[in-house]
Amino acid sequence: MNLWLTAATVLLAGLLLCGFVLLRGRPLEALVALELGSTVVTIVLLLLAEGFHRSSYFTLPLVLAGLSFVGTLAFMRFLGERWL
Amino acid sequence: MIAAVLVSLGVAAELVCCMGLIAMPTALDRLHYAAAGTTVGPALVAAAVCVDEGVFTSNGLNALAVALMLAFLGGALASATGRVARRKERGRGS
Repeated sequence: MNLWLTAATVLLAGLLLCGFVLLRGRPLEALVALELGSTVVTIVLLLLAEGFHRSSYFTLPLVLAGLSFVGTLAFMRFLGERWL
Repeated sequence: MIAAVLVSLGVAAELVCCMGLIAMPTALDRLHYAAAGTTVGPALVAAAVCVDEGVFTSNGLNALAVALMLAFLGGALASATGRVARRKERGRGS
């Protein structure tokens, strides 16, 4: 297990903290936790790609960075008026 | 060595943001930490990848693209979320 994989494993602890707020907070706070959680997952995938030395794995964080933006905007748009 | 320091700083920055997310009382306060998490941590990790692999390599450029996308899109997202939170705080008027 090299440095990058160790860092990815440590960073997964941050995902637990985001998950706690996501489950226990109000809807708007859960949306903020979702934003940070998707950022954490993106960095974890970046670290894993570097840790495994596979160039093709770098596509995953690149795609997730764009899709998480679209997904959170969709949550905000469709849940915004009533739930947030 | 430099890459190890940059990765450690990046992971530490992300963990601080996650702890701030839990510690802060309101959604707007938490949003500050979520926005910081899209800029500081990814930039440090991308810098570490560039130090390890070189900037003008496939992996280095991909890491830089991820960090730039997270910084710009995360800022836009924080702005939109802040607008929703402000509207909720002040009623539906603003």
